[in-house]
Amino acid sequence: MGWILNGFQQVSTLQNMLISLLGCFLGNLVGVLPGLGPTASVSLLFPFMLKLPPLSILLCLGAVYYGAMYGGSITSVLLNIPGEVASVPTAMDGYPLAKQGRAGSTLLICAMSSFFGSMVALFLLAFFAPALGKFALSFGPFEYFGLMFFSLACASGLSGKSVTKSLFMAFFGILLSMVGCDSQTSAFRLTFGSFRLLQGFDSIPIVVGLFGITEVLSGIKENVTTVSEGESKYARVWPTKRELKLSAGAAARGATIGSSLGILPGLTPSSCTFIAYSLNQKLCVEKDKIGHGAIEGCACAEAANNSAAMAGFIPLLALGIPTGPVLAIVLAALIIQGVVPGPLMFTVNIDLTGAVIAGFFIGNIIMLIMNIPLIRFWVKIAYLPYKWLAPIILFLCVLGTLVIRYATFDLWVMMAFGALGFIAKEKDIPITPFVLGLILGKSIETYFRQAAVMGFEKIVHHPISIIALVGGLALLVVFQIFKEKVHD
Amino acid sequence: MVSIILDRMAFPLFMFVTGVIAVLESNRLTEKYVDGDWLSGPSSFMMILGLLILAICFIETVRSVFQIRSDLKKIDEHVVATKEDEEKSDEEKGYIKDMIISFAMVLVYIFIIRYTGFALATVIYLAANLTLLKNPIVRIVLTVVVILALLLWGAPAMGISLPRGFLGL
Repeated sequence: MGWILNGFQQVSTLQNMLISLLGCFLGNLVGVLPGLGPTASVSLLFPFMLKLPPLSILLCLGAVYYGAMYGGSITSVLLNIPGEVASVPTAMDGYPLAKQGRAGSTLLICAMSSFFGSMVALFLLAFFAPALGKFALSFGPFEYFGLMFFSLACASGLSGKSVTKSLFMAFFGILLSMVGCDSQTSAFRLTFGSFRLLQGFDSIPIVVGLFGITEVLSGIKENVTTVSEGESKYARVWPTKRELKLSAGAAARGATIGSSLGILPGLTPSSCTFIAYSLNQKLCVEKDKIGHGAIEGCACAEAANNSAAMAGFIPLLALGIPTGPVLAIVLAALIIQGVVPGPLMFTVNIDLTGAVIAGFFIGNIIMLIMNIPLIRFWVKIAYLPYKWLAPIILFLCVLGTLVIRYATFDLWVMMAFGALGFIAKEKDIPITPFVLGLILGKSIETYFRQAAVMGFEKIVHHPISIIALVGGLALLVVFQIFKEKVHD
Repeated sequence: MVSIILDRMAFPLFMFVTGVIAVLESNRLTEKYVDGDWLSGPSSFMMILGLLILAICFIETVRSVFQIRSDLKKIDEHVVATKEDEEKSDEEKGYIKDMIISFAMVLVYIFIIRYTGFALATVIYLAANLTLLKNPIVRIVLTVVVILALLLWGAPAMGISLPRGFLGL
């Protein structure tokens, strides 16, 4: 405990507090732009941080990271534009809530759930990091494959009116993730001779198209006057007791699943968020509302996203393994400053580790305090005239997609998926399994092939994998029977 | 009747095409790239997915055929449109037209970026789309000026460089 208290002492300076505040604010600002998620925000702002001392760099990186994640949630809830893939579940439930005039309370629940998720993961980081780091390494291809199959089965079983349609959408998403050059054999797959397809599809243009463009098209078609048509201009920000109660359970589930999965190398926070969201569909109270405006969906997704992001620091600090691109930048920042992450972080460099944990804790509190008063300001966006907002959203979609890799091709992809998303919405075809398939597609195939190299007969030595696979199949069958009965 | 069949069979048809593409592509990859173990190669997972999609397609087709039969039974029920409904339908058609034109405007916007540059293309697009959606002229001018200023000075300040066109904007 002494080393953490010592960390708080190191961090509690005016300079560090201001750096955290500025980092949160800048992260928020960049994260609000569609397409610019935490990775882009951290990458954009990282070069400006290099002149700071090592501890300040880490604090600033952490603050930008939280700020950008929350920025993504703001656009997801208010405009149905997920700034990054991990914000998609938040958009699926948050936007319908904003339409009902509950944008303020939803944003507050998102902020509180994010804070709670981060705190759970920070607790694990502070007290169990070395042991958890070792446990994470015991997961192999069989376990990962089983886990991903289970989450796909959950999403397919629970989305839409037909399990077969949902399952097809999940498979279609996986197929799209395979487009491009195969990383293991350099084989060109599903490129049809087009050099533009060699790099494959970036998931952000597809997600922005499916959610942002589709929503604007629907809004214009339905002659929406404002995004929020529920309550007055000064809609309440504080949630009701019931909302708090529902959110608390969902956030606890999200934080538990997110922090458990977030420590596993290979699972990005977005994958963890989707897995947590699909599992939460099964466990939540208002099952029928999930995907159509359930506060539990937002709370779970935000808690899972943040806890997974924070839990990623466990393998990073304990083993030196970054679980995603943002953490790879953090690793680079540490190495530039002469600190090599690994077991030594909890022996020789324990003072720095303590200061980093304390800094993240304070950064999260600053993030929450800074955003509560700002919610009233953000909510007003939902009451702007839609005939003005619609072209602005379309412009932001174009801008956000363009700055990812400056490829006009991505813009065409965004528009194509915008049109497809609109058709899917009109025809009641579920989008969630498709997005999940797209995000998990590459990983699920990699683990399948790794398992094939090891030999599928060895699955008998991996009980977690067997349970997940059998459970997933059983879920699909049960949901198919259940939905047919309901339909009849 | 044709519209009912098209409506019900479009999705199974899409499934079928996707499944066939996956199987054919997987077959091509198997012939070209796999020397050793097929399962760990680049085509195995795609083949499995393709076959699963075709199986799902079969189930969905059978289901759609039954749905078409039940839809055709209901076709005899005539709905007499009132004058009010017709007016409403005209209004809806207007919104659909706005939606299609807005979508087309974004397509044109993306197309002209490489020639005019991002800033100028944005100005043209915003002015056109805001006018289409009947925004007041003051609001349109203010929006265009603010966005242009943000693109010309705000984006470079954040380290974001945007495509430039023939005017250097």
